[in-house]
Amino acid sequence: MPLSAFLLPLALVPSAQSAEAHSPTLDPEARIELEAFWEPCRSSLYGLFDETPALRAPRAAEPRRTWSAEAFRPFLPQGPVEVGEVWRVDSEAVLGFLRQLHPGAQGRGESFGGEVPGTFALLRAVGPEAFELLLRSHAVFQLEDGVIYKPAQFEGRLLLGREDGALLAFSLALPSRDTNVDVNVPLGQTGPNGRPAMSADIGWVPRLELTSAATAASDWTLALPEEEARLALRRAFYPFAALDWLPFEEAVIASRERGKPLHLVLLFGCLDDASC
Amino acid sequence: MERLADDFVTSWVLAKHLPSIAAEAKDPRVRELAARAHESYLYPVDSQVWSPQGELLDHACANDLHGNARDRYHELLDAYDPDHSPPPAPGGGK
Repeated sequence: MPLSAFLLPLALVPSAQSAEAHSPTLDPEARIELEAFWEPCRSSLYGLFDETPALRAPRAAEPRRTWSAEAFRPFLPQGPVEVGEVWRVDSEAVLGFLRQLHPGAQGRGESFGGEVPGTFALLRAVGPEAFELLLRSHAVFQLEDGVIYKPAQFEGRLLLGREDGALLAFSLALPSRDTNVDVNVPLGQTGPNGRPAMSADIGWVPRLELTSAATAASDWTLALPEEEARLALRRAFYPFAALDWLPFEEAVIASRERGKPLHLVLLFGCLDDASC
Repeated sequence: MERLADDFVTSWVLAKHLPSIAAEAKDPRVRELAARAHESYLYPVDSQVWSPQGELLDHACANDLHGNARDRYHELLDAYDPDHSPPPAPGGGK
């Protein structure tokens, strides 16, 4: 049972926002090429990534693909939004892109387990020439031989021309942190619940990404700092992210200094993503 | 959640990182608690409550939390009773 199931829901905490609302648009004729990268797992707890053919040397289904504006339209907000404002995105839009990596990309269903599915976006920055949208999406891949591949999350970054709606840049990437992919591999037996028995492992995949060519950094007149933007999206998925989670060492010292008990969660994978 | 925010210091850590924290952290109290937390760890997700003095009061494995998860979690948080706990150790208290 995932921890999120019993850390009780809270309302979304609003982010810092500007007063002005914006309506990013897309040029219907815009197109952009995305290159796919999928590296093997660099280290894991039990070595299943090395032992399992479907995991040993993953390859993107389509190393390069050109996408049209229509595929990006679901990422845009339904109405004007302020910097820092979060909105829900139809997950099917992200799955389309993820199928460039593997046709088995799924947004929900049995193979997703207890994790929190979905996609959220926010307007992170506004400049004279561009808008930047940040996305967070949870999805899994149903690989060959019944193997289920659960990335911690995908972080998307979409850069749009402010005046013309040009597709300036896009990336959709698994953040590289120790640990960031959970896998379930069928054992070839039936479990006590009548379903296939699975063995599990968790590891670090340095690069799993779709990305366009690099573009020059934009000038922003108003921008939410990266970590604040990520926190706002994290809170959209996990109400418990509203708590002030301190790093372990800091927390032990703070508990002693403040005379407050320490609530400590020990895990084999990260608390605030879909890999655990 | 409100109770956690008001009455507790909260943290999460990868269990596999605890041995290195226990060996390398600067603060000896951090090293000691890391070692003891790791000894007590129940795979895969273990929620632990420690007193400010570094005493493990209770812990619960996520796999053991089924229909009564909410009650069990409250019971876990109840493990700390401020009325029956010594004051913060010397050197503490901001």
